[in-house]
Amino acid sequence: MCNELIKPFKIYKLLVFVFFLQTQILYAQQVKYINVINNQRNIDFNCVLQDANGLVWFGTDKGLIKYDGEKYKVFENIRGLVNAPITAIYYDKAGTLWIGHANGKISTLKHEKFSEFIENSQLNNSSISSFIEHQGIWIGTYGDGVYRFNSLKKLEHYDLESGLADNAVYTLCKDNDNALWAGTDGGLTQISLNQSKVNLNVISMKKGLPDNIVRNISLAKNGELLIAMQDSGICSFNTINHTFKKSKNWKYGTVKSIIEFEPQVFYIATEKNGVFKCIISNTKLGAISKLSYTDGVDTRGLNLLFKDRESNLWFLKKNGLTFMSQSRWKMFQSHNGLKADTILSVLVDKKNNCWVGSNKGLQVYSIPSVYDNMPASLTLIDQVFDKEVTCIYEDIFGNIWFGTYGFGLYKYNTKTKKLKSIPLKTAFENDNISCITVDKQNKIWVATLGGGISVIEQTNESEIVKNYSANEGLLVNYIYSILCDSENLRWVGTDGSGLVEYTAGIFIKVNEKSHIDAKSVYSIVKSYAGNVWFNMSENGLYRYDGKQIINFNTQNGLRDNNPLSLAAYKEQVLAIHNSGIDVYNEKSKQFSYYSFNDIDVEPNLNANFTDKKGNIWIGTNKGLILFRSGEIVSDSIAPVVSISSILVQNKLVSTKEQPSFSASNNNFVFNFKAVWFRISEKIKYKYKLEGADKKFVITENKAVSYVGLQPGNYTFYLYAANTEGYWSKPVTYNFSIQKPIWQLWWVWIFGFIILYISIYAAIRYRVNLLKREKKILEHKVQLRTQEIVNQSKIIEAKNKDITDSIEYAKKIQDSILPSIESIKNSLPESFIFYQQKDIVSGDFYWFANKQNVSIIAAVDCTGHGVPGAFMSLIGNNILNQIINENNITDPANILNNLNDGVIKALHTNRNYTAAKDGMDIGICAIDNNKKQVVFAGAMRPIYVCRDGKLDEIAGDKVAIGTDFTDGIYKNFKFNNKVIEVQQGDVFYLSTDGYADQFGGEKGKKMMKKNFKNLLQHICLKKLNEQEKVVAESFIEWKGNFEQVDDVLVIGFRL
Amino acid sequence: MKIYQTAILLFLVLCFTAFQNSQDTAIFRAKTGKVSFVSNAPLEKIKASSNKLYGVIDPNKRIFNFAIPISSFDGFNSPLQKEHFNENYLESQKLPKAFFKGKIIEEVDLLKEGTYNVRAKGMLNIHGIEKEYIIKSKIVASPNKINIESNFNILLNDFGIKIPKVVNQKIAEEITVAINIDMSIK
Repeated sequence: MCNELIKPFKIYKLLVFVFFLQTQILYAQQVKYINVINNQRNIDFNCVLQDANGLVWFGTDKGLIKYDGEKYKVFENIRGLVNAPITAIYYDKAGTLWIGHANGKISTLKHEKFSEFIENSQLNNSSISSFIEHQGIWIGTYGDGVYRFNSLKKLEHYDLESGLADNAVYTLCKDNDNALWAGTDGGLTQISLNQSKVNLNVISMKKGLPDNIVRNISLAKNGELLIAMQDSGICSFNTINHTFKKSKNWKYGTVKSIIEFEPQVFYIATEKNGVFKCIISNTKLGAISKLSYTDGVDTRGLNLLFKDRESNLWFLKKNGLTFMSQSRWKMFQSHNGLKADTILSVLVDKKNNCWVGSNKGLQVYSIPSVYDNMPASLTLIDQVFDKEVTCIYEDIFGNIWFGTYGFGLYKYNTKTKKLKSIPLKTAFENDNISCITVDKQNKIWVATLGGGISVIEQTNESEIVKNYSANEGLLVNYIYSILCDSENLRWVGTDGSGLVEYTAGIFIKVNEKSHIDAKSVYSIVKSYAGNVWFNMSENGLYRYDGKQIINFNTQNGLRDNNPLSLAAYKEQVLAIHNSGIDVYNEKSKQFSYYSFNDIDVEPNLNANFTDKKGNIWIGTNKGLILFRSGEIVSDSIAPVVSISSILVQNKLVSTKEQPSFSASNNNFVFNFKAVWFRISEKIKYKYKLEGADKKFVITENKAVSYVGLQPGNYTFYLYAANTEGYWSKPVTYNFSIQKPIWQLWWVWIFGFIILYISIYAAIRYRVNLLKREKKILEHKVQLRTQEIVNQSKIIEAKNKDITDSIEYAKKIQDSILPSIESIKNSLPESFIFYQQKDIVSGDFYWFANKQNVSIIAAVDCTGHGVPGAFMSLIGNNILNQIINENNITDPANILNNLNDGVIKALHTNRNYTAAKDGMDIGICAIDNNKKQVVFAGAMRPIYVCRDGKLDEIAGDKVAIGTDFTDGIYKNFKFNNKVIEVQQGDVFYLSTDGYADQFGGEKGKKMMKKNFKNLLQHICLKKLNEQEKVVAESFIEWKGNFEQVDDVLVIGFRL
Repeated sequence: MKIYQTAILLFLVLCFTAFQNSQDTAIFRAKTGKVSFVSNAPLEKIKASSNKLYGVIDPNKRIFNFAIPISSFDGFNSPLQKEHFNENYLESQKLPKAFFKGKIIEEVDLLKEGTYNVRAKGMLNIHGIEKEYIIKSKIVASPNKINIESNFNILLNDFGIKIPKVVNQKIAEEITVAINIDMSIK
C-alpha cells in the first residue's frame, strides 16, 4: 500500500506474523475457507468494505487487513493507526478511509498515510460501530450516541437527550431519500437534515417496530430498509409510509447481519444459528432456508455478512473468514444424498422431485423447496425400480414413464404408486429403451436400440402400441433419440442414417437434403428460435433451420466433436461432452465454455434434463451434475485491474504520476494485478504498450518487461478478464522517454550556435592574437626596420665608403691595366672584351712589348670582386716584375716564375694554402720577327682561328699557385706551345667567365663548346666587329641572369 | 376569604408539585432479592442461592443497578465446595460483589400495573470482569411494587472463571441463574 508502510510491514511480518492461507475448493470453486491466522491466534473479523480497486479491507481485532484475492497485508502497530481492535471502516467520497476502534477512537488513512482523527479527544471510549457520509461524516458509537463531523470540521453530538432512540448505536444506514437511520437499543432513529438543522425521529416498538434492539440495517433495492433485530428476526421497513413486513414466529435468535443478495433474496446471519436465505416478496417475508454446515459454509461465530461487487458472499467470523462464490454447477454424489454414481437419466417432475435413473434403478429425491440455483443436497424419498434405467419422462397426467436396458418400458403412477410394464411387442421384441417423448396428441414415442420406434396411445387404463421399424419405412431400427416439436414434427436420431424427419407417414433423411453423410445422431433438441439442433458422431453439432444444415465443430468454435448429449434453454444450446459444456448463444452467435475443472467425470449419453429454471441436470459416471445455464452475476462482472508497481531500471516509480524519463531510463517492468475473487487464479490479462507493441498480448502472467525502449511517447493499456471473457475497463499509464540530448533539435541548434560562437570566438581570438602579434611584430619590425634603417644607413655609409674605396680601387686596377692604345699599337687588329662582375675584377689582361716581342696574357685570379682584384694586383705586379724587370719573355718561364712569385707572395704575406688561391692564365709571346706565337697556359687554352677554322691549343692543367716543391706537381714546369703564324691567323685568349655564364633559353651555362662556336663564327670578321658580336652575344646569352664571374676575351689577328 | 382561598390554592399546588416530584423520583428498591444458580455438570449438580440481592430501578429512565455479595451464596454440596467457590473460582475476598447495571429495553411503565416481559440489557460484572448481557425478565407491577423473575445462563469462560481439568466433569461451563426479587418504592 503506502510506500512508507511497506518496508516496516515486511520486517514486521517476518518477525511477528505467520500467515496460513488455507483454501479449500468445493463444488467447482463455490466455497473457500480463508483462515487468516495471526501469530498462531485466530483473527476476529468485525467489519469490511470493498474499495474502488476491488480490494477488500477488513477491520479485525488484530488490525486492518487488505486482501486482493491472493495475498493479505496486515496493518497493525503503525504510527497513526490507533492500536485497538477495529470495529468499523468506511471510505468517504474524498478517498479517506475511516477506521473506528473498540476504544472509541478513530484513525484515518489517506494518501497511504495513517493518522489519528483530530477530534479523538472529544470522543469518549464507546466503541465506534458505524460510519456514513452525508453532509459530513456521521459516526455511530456503541454507548455515546451519534457524532457528526461536519463540513466545518467540527463535531456535533446527538444522544438520548438530543432525541436519539438510544446511545447504543449498532449501525447507520442511508436511504434513497438521503435520510440516515440509526439502529439502536431503543429502536430506529431517523436522522434527517433540513438545511443545517438535524431532526431526529424515533421509530420504536410503539410505532410497530418488532424489536427495539436493531442490530443491523441495510437498504434493499426496492428502497426499503432491511432490519436485523435482537430477538424478533428480521423485518423490512418502508421509509415512505412507515409500514413493516415482519417475520413471524422467529426462532433463530439474534440476527446480526442481513444483506440483499438478489432482488428479494436475502441472506440473514444469526448469532448462534448460522445463515439463512430468505425471500421477501412485495407483501410478506417468504420461506426461509438455512445454509447448513454441509452446504459448505461454516457459519459458526458469524459477525457480519458481506456481498462484494461480484456478488460473492463473505462470512466475517469471530475466528476467521469464509468466502462463497456463486457456483456454475454442483455435483451430487453419495456424500450429499445420491444413492448411485452412474446416472443414466434424470428428470425433475412438476412437484419438484428429482427422478434419477441409474445403474441401480430409479430413485426419487426431494429438492429443497427454496433455492435459487444450487440446492445443498438431495433427499431420497422413494426407490421405484432396481434395474438399469436409461430414460425417464413425465406425461401430462403426472405418470412417470421410464425405459430400461433389457427390461422394456414402464409406467409409474405417482398417485397410486403402481408400476406397470408396457410391452412394446416390436418385431424384434426389443427391450432396450433409449428415449421417451410425447407428441402434440399426447402420444408417447419410445425409441429402442434395435427395435425401431413404438408410439403409445393412452386410453383409460390401457395402452395401444404401434410400432415403426425398417419394415414400416423407418430406415433403421437402432434409434438413439426422438424429438416431437411444437409444430407436430417428429425428428428421429438414428444409428447410421443420420437425422430422419417423420412427416405424413414418411420418414425422410434430412441429411440428404444438404448432402451430408449420414452418421449416428445421438441427441436432438429444438431451440428457442425454432432451429433443430442435433449432433452426429465425430462431426460435432448441426443446426437445421428447415432449409439448410450448418455444422459446428472444432473448426468453428466447438471444443469437442463428440458431444454426448444436447440441451436447450431459451437462446442457449448446450453441447455436453467429456471436457465440459459448450454453450452456443443463438442471439450473440457465440460459444461460451464451461469445463469440468476439477471433477474428472464423463457425462452419459443423453442423460440430461432441463428444468423450469433453466438448470441442466446431467448424469455422469460419477454422479449427478446440476449446471446453471443462465448467466450468473459474478461471471458478467469484469475484474478490477490495476498496475501494482512499475520498475524503471529496477527502481520503483509512482504509478500515479505520468512522467517523462531520460533516455537512459528505458528498461521497464510493469507489475499488475486484477481483483476477481471468484476464480482469481484464472484471470487473464491483455496489455499493449502503444509505441512499442503492434497488438495486444493476452497472458496469465502478472508482469511484463520492456527492455531498451526507444525515445518517444508511450501508453500502457491493461485489461483483465474473468473466466467468462468479460474484460475490465482499461487502466492506462502514459509516459515518455526523452531523446538523448544529442538528438534534440534545440541541442543541435544550440550546438551549432555554440560551435559558431566557438569558431567565431576562436577566429576572433586568433585575429585579435594575430592583430596583437602583428602589432607586436609591427612594433618589432618598426624597431628592426629602424635598426635596419640605422644599420642600413651605417651599411650604406660603409658601403658607400667601400664602394668609394672599390671605385677608387677600380681606378687603381684600371690604371694598372695596359692601355688599349698601347696594345693596338702592337696589335692593331685586336680587341679586348673585358666585363667585370663587380666594380673591381679578378680577371685582368696584361700586355708588354719587349724587344719586338709582344707579350699578352689573360689572367683569371681566384675569386672575383675585391679578393680577385687583390690577386690581380699580385699577379700584375709579379708579371711586371718577371717580364719588365727581369726581361723574361718566354711564356713558360714567365708562368713558372709567376707560380713561384704567387706562392711566395701568398706564403710570405698571407696564411693561405697554395691549393686554394692562385690564378689561371693564358699567355703568349708574339714574335713578329719570327712570325711565331709562343703560348703557355695555366688551366687556360689559346684558340687559334686559321682560315676560318678554330683550333684550341690547351695550356697545362695546372693553375698558378700550385706548389711545385712537393706532391704530384713536384718539379713541374710549364710548357710552351709554339705556333707558326700565318697571315690572318686570329688568336683568342680568355678567362672562363664567358663560357661559364648562365643564360640562354634554358638558363644553362654557355659552355666552352658554344664559346668556341661563337669564336669560329666570328673569327673571319674584322676584330672591331668581333668585339661587338662578343659583347652583344654575351649580353644576349645572359639575358636577365646575373653575371656569375668576371669576363675577359682577348682577340688579335696577326 | 381571599386569603383562605389563596392559601388553599397554594396548598393544592404544593401538594400536586410534591406528588409530581414523588412520581418523578420514584425508585424501586430492594435488599433481599433471591438469586440461585445451578451447575448441571455430567458428574455433579451443584445448587446455591443467596437472599442478599439488592438494587434499584428508576422506572422513569428504565435504568437499574443490582449487586450481590458473592460470599452470601449458600447451598452447595459441601462446605469445601463453598470454600472453593469463594476462594478458588470467584475470589470473593478480592472481588466481593457481582453487579448488573443497565437499562430496560422495552418502553414499559413500571408504575402502571401489569405484567411485562422485558429485556434488561447491561453490563454484568462477575469476578471483576464485565460482559454485556441481555437478560429476559418478567416484571409484575402492582401499586408501588414490582416483582421480577428472570432466568438466564452465563458462561463461566466469559468471566475468566477457569475450571481445573480435574473437576471439569463436575462443574458446568454454562451456569443457569434464576432471580426473584420484590422491589418497592420507599
